[in-house]
Amino acid sequence: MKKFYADAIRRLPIRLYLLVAAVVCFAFFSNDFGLVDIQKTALILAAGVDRTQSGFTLTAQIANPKGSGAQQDNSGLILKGSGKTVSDCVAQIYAETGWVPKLIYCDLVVLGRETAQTDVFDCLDFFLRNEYMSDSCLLALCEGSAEELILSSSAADDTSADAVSKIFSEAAEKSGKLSKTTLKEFSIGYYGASQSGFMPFLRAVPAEETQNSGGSSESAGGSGGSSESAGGASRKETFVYLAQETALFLRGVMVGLLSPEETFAYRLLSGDVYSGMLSVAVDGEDLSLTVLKNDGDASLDMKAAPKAKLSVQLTVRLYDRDKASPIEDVALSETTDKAQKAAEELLSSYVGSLWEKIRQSQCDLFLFRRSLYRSSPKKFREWDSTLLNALRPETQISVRGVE
Amino acid sequence: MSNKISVRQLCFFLAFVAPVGKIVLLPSRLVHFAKNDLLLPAALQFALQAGIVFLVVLLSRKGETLYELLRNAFGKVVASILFVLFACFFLFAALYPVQEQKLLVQSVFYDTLPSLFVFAPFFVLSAYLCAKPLFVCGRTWDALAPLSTVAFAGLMILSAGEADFGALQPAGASGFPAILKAFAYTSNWFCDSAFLLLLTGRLEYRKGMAWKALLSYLAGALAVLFFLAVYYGIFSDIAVRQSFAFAKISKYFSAVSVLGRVDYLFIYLLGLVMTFYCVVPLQASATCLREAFGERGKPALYSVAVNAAVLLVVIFTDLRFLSFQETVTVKLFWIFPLFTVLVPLLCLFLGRSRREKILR
Repeated sequence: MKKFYADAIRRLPIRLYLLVAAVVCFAFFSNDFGLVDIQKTALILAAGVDRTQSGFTLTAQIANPKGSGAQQDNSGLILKGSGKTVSDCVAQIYAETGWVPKLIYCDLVVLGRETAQTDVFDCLDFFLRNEYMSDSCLLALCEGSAEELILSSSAADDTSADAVSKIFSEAAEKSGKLSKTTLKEFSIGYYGASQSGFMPFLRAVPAEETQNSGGSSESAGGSGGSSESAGGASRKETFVYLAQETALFLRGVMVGLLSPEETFAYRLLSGDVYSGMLSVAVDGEDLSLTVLKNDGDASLDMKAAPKAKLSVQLTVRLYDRDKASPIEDVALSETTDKAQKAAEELLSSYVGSLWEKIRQSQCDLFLFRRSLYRSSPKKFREWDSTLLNALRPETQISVRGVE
Repeated sequence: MSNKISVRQLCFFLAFVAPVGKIVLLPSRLVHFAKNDLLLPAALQFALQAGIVFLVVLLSRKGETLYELLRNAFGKVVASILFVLFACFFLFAALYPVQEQKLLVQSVFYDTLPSLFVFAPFFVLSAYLCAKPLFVCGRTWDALAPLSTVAFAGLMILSAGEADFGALQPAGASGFPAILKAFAYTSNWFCDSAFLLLLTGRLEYRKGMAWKALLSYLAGALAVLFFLAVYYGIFSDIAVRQSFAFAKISKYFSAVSVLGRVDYLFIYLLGLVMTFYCVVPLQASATCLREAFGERGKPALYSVAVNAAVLLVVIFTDLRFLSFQETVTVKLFWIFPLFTVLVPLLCLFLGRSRREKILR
């Protein structure tokens, strides 16, 4: 008997350990791994922020999870909250709707035009602070209010957020038609030596579209035909979204807007355009050239008088003409010297206009101040406030056809 | 089966396991103090620790454990008192890595802030490992080394291409005081030499072991320095905001946006290695208590005592991390060089006659 108790006491720590381990594991695995119930969760796909008199409003496009048997309506849901800070807006959404807003899948943050009148980081910092939000989400500034843009119906997609995300695709960026930026990139620019950044400027343009909801038509992208009605035609205003302009920022405030041509020049100077299109007029004939190779560079030269060296080297191919052409021309698609010269002149005018916009706005789009800081902090302190005015642009444009 | 740690196992620890403890919160703390000069204080710390590691491994030539060396030099009572002090130090040194690991789990592996309870299973594993003799670490390091290598290499492959290394310029811009501050206030991440001191006499000493240990430590140091460069190259002026750096740097790889977060495979692997690395100071603390009090207590008792103490601190400091961090890394930073530099250097003189000292 004595031996039995001695043995039991000896084994007690192990038994206690196993018991505690079992209790901890049971509690751990019965806790749904700490995850939030998906049915009560608002997965925010896109957020729009507008500045108001008393703070901000947040308009959130959320995914609308439904059971597999339920009728699918892909339009998603819109939730709206307001408050003195963006987090107040999120809290209000939670308080008023019971949905738990989650930003982990938020890929797009749209700011209303008014929001950019003063430093946008009084609202953007919320997204940067949020440990559970990806800083690779795209940023955009829009004409009018972000709420209107998020609430608008897309002519091409289920939701405005989907449509906007689509125009920000890699392929669209490569074409040189838009400049996109992420929260991370914009923040690095804002907090860095240049204190500058940019965002694509979104415009919602009405698309003339009549949806005959009677008969056999279905709602765009819908599989259940939920928009069918007994008859008659209803007109619903739908939009397409353009992002060919670029808003320039200095210390978080919008200071200028690049036209589509200037945006294209900026993309070419960044050197990563492929398959972009360029239209030139030669002897009264309009030609479309496609970019096959783009080497671009914008560098700072402080050796003598400060200079900005801007260079674009393009290899292009004739893509189309506005007139009927002989079959040899269609087969060879050669670009003439005249066409190349015209393209160089056109691009020079774009680059000149871009430089003028940069100088006026003082937005350090090419991060020259950062380059100077990295190479010489002493010179940076000397030139910091006057650098962009002092810089003399030295432009070198070269357009060649495929040989 | 040998009850000593082999050369291979020691090298694996220094080259592949110890570095992973330095890629969670250390990068953002270095940036907090030294901004773009984060590599300089880290390199200084590594250089200092590499020298200490070399000397501590040399101390193992005698084949005596640290307790035996102290007992022979000062007697049993003093040796036991010193070992209780060592146990307290290792307990203190364990607090920050455990908190770090807890925050990592809560922030990286969950998409909303989970309860403190999700971290509780860590203590089940820790209590088990702390009740085991110290030499079992060697086998753990054998298993962890390949995982760590694959995961670290995977993350670097995914992220190095996205880094703008120019962001590290201009070197020295933050100034000497800032670099010195970064050096001093990150001492808590560089405790490996103190742990090796406890392995004295438990290593299978072979000729050239100290050199191999030194080279392994330097290899691990180079990996961490490269990681820090990539980290700053990716986050640049917002790097100070980016805690849990290793879990974030790979997500900008273009294929990740198409395939999804496949990099999480590597992140989970490194998380696993980190878990075992966090337990090391706890194991050291339990071992010190066991040696100080001899056979009067069961290993499980010391394991429970050490883990319960850390658990209590974790519960108490759950929502007080910033003040906890300030206390451990800034106010009490001097404790770390005391035990990781001064004590190992003093130990070199233990058990040597005056004649020996002169000859060497």
